[in-house]
Amino acid sequence: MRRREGEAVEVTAPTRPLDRVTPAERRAPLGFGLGLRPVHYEAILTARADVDWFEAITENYLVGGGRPLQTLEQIRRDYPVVLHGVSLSIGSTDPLDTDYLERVAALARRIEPAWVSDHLCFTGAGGLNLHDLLPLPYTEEALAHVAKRIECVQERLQRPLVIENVSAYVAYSVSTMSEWDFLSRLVERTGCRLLLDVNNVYVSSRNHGFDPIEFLDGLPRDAVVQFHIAGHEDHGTHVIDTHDAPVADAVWRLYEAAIRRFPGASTLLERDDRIPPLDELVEELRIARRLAAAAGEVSA
Amino acid sequence: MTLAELEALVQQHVLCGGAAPATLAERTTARTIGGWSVYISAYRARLVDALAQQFPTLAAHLGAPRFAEYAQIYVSESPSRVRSLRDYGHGLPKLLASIANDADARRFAELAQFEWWLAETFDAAEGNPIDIDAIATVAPTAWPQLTFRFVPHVQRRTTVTNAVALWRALRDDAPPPPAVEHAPVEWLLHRDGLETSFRSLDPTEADALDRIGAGASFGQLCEHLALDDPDGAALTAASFLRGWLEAGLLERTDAHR
Repeated sequence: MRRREGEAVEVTAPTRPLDRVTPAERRAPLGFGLGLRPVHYEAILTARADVDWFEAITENYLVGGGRPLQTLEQIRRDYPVVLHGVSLSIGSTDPLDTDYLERVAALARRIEPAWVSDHLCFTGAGGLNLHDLLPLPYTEEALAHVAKRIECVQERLQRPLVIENVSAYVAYSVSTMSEWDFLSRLVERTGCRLLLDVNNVYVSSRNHGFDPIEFLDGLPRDAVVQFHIAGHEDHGTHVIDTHDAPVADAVWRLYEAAIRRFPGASTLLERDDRIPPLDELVEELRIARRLAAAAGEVSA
Repeated sequence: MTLAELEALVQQHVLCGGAAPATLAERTTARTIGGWSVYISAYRARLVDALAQQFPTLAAHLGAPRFAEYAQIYVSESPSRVRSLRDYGHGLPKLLASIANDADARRFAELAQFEWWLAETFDAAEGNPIDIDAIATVAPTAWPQLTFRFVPHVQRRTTVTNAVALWRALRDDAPPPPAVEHAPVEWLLHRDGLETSFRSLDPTEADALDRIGAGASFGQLCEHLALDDPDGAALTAASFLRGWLEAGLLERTDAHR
């Protein structure tokens, strides 16, 4: 979560808008990264980690200055960074928070992230923020509303927004289309890109009884620029997205299917609770590397 | 039902808990009606956990169960309106002060306030602190017109309990001193590089710093100090200013900077 005004930042990641990146370049993704967490700052700054890139939680760095922002800038000099937000609330019927967007835009100018992402959800209404990723109904009304807001955000950030599918514990009977159809139509209408959270697909598929492969097959191949993989808690009757454990075998299997369908996407391992030492996560990330390498050989 | 109405209904249910209202249940698939409980329990747990991270010393002092009691009151009375969880706890010290009914409670309310001040300084912008070598080149005749403001990480604060002593004891794993209420003590908080720093100020320096922070010119500060010490005022003012500049507390605001 940030800084120093006026400090030069070396740019090592793609800075052109994604829609101007050629298909060949899209085949050269960021690689295999980790969610940036303060507990790992020292280890990352002390020695070069076997990590290709880091994903920083946007809201943790929307501050004026101090150690976290400066640490992010230091890390940015050595690694590509993606900014991943949790409070854009793109589906909320509240007006877009222009102050928040301006702060995100300023951070993006400072950090030069490879891209900026957030979630397909709403986090509150009437000015409140529940700090949770609440699911939307997949209706024509919601689609038009979210598409319009994505266009506004892209205009303000001057780059395509990357949208992530969330884990859901409820579904709405008023929905008139699937989640993957909703996401695909957002891509078609706005040119946004997708962050496919493989664990979230698995969690929601278990909670709502759909085929996760159908979800993957329903998304446009060229739109997915990034994967999330993470651990969850299986309660038998339902599954909760906890990010407090290693990636489950079933999610690794779904990830294998995802990397075959979307070979140009970059992979990011998330851990937000019971966070182990960096080396342990680097080791877990090697599983993703091996699976991707194997998938590449199969494709070849 | 519009999207806005559905979102308001969902939010109300997550905030209040209990059984889902019929208007919401009939719009939710049967398979997952019980799923609202995941959001309801996560909402409070997440905010209480965020508060414990924002006030680690207070949480350690009170112990987890007692801290959670106060945090739950805050969560109930102050739903979040901020984008970042790290900003959520700004009103907790005021809440604790409003319900404090003895010296111990007034002290831990002030401990919370002190932790929040430290966090604000930790995260604040660097600003453009004056280069002490550059200001040495200012012509002597121009000094009386110099005006300043605090850089963003500087805070001037006052405490009326020994909360800071308690904070130090908890930091050092020392026995907490008994709660004491006393005459106001003046504090300066700022950042030295990336390290958050604080010190107490004697009343004369505190008053002088407040005047400079409020826009008084160096000449006006000298005149004020001369009311009590006509002969030593200029030297005292210069000494204060040198210390503040060396600590990187001030930016210039006068037209000739």
